[in-house]
Amino acid sequence: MIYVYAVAEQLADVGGLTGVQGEPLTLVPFGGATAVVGEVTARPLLDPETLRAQDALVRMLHDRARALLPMRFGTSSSDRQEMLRSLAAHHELLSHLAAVRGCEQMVVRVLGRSSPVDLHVSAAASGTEYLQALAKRHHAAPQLENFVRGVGDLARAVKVEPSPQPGLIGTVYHLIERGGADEYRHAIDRVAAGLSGVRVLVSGPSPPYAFA
Amino acid sequence: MTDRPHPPFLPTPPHPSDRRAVSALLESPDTSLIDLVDSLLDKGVVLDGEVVLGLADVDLVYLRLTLLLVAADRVLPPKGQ
Repeated sequence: MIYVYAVAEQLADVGGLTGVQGEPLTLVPFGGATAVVGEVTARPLLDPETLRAQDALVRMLHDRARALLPMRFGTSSSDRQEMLRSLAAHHELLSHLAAVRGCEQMVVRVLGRSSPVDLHVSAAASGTEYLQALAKRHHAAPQLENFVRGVGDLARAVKVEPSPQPGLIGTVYHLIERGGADEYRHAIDRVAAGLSGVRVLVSGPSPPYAFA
Repeated sequence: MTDRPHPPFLPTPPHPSDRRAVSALLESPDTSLIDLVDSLLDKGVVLDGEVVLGLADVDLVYLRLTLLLVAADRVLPPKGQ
């Protein structure tokens, strides 16, 4: 079984690195990029140790690559040919790689009081209903917009996820240039200081999981 | 490869007491757990391929964190189900 960890650009080598089952890593070229895979005997189990191991590996790969898109935990193929067919069918991977080139991800979770709303969009019965649900999500957490605007030019891209859970207003994912984490944190601190009833948790830098 | 974005261990909406606990969980000493769950289980590239999770030895903390943190439209069943 082929276990897929990431798709990377300009990843020189994987010397000294092994997969979550201790297996050697292999670089499989496709379309100008490289898939980082390992051959495992069984699908890795979902447990804390394996999650940590995969995340640690993806971070090290990210450090060695010009651009990297992490795969979701559990992504596997029965064999290499099937994996290559699947990758080839996703032309958008290459443009996504270009978008994260030289970048890393920062995350700010915004805590505070928010109005509980129904944030379901996938259950919409019509296109109009879907768009209305999206608009509802957008307006559900206006506090998050402060953190979108507040980082200014530091962010190459942003994703906002309002939360349906009381206490967590939502999460904002920013794609910033590598090495910009300190400046980012200062910017977030400035935004948070200007808001009442809101606290933030900032994490990162990390590989661009939310932009993969 | 087949995609299974809805992990099979998440059929139940979070209990109100779990919802109230979100701030406490977010401020737990090991907030890296949150990032792990958020990043590796809910984000990342999903091919039309297969994302299958082995379920043995799943720690309850992960179930709880996942319920709290994964976007609702990806976790909770549509209304009426």
